Amino acid sequence: MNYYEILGVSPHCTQEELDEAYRRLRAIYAEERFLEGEAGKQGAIKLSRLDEAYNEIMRERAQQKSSSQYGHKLGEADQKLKNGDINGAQEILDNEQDRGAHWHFLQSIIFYKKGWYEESRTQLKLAVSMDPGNTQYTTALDRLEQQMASKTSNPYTMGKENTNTQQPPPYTEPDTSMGLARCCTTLCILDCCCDLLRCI
Amino acid sequence: MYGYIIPDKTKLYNKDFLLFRSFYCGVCKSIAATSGNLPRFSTNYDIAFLAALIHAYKNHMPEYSCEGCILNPFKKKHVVKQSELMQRIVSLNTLLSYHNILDKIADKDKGKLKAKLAKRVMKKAYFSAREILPQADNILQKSFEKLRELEKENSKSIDRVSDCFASGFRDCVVKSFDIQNDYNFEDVIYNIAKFVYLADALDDINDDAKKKHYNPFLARYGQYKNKAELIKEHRQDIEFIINMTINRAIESYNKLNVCEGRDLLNNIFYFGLRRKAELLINSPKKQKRERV
Repeated sequence: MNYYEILGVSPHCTQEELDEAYRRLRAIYAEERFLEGEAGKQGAIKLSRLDEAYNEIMRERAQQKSSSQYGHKLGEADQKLKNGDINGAQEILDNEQDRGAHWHFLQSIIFYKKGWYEESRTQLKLAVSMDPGNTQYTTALDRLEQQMASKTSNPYTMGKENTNTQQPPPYTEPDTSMGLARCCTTLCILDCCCDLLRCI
Repeated sequence: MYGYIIPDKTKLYNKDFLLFRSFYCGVCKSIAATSGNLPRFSTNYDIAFLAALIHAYKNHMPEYSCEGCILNPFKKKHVVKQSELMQRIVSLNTLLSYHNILDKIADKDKGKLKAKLAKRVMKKAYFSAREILPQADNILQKSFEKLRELEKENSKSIDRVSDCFASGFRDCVVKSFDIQNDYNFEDVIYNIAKFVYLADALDDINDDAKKKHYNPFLARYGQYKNKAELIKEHRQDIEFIINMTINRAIESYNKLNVCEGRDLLNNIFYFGLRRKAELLINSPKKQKRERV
């Protein structure tokens, strides 16, 4: 499938031209899918193909950028990490002789995913010391130390995407206690009333 | 596992306390049913937590019975009944306790007599547990061997040493409870096991410094005379590693599809772990065993 043909742009177009074509076509297909019958169905299919084409082109461009900026091998390791292949990425890094800032940055990501947090911070600090002007590395280090290792971050929202709430939900969510409450309500009520009935 | 994963009582609802207690008593009763009365001393809060987590994750509603306790036969309490799942959980606990005991015996120490006595008591239970979970036994054996090798080398990498225990325990749980490709659950187990290992190491700094035993914090930061001095110099680094482990456990737990028993597990993950970490870091002495 030729993704550039679906978007009606040339493979050498700029990012702005690509985004403009995507926005324009998306607006058209988004309206078409609400038409009745076959026309609506076709509109939905075109919209889905358009999104797939755009995402694929963006992914390919990101991979090419990574390869050209940091070398083919590190770009490959970067891609393997994005696909979740930690062992594959580690193998590439182990075979790489030239260990610059980006090598240490990728190594820190591998350590983080493996759960080796101190090693991850060490590698990230090395990356920052080798390339202090790189905001990607300094932002990552800052985020690791201030946010991810914070003992006061809101536990209710950690790991959950698209959370808008700042306050934790009330701690009175109705929840069955694995059937224990149904088992003996009297005991539960009595225990709630009197702390003396707690386990010795 | 020595009771580092407990709920925060100040934020615990009574229903959640009763649920936690019923799992704790259920583990004790299951050990008695599987291996006799003596191995019951290996019951601990950490395995009660694991039992609650696995039941919630597998959406397995436990059955309850009203029974007296070996310590207090006149007071009847709700107890999680023996089941195939509970049998596997207590078998895993037995394997872990036995391998811990073997590890203590391998250390050249005066406390070996106590460990040798414990080994005798647990031997029969260990053989039954090994029949139920043979793969877990092999994994634990290899993990503890690797751990001993790293300790002999006086490894300075806290992550490498704790990874031995944490990844071994994670693989045991995955094999024993048929966990299929759920990286979030695997991350929860990994980080919880890592927290237990680090908490135990932090608690034992004074003893290990005195007896010149291997301790990952002493190996990494230098041979301090006591915990208070080490914490004073390296508080930020120690807080970083402990808080990262807890936060990753919370993050992965939040991605799980757990419904029943959520309040109890929320308390343990969101409040219990952090509270315990604070106590361990700020207390200069070894923590006494807490009662829930």
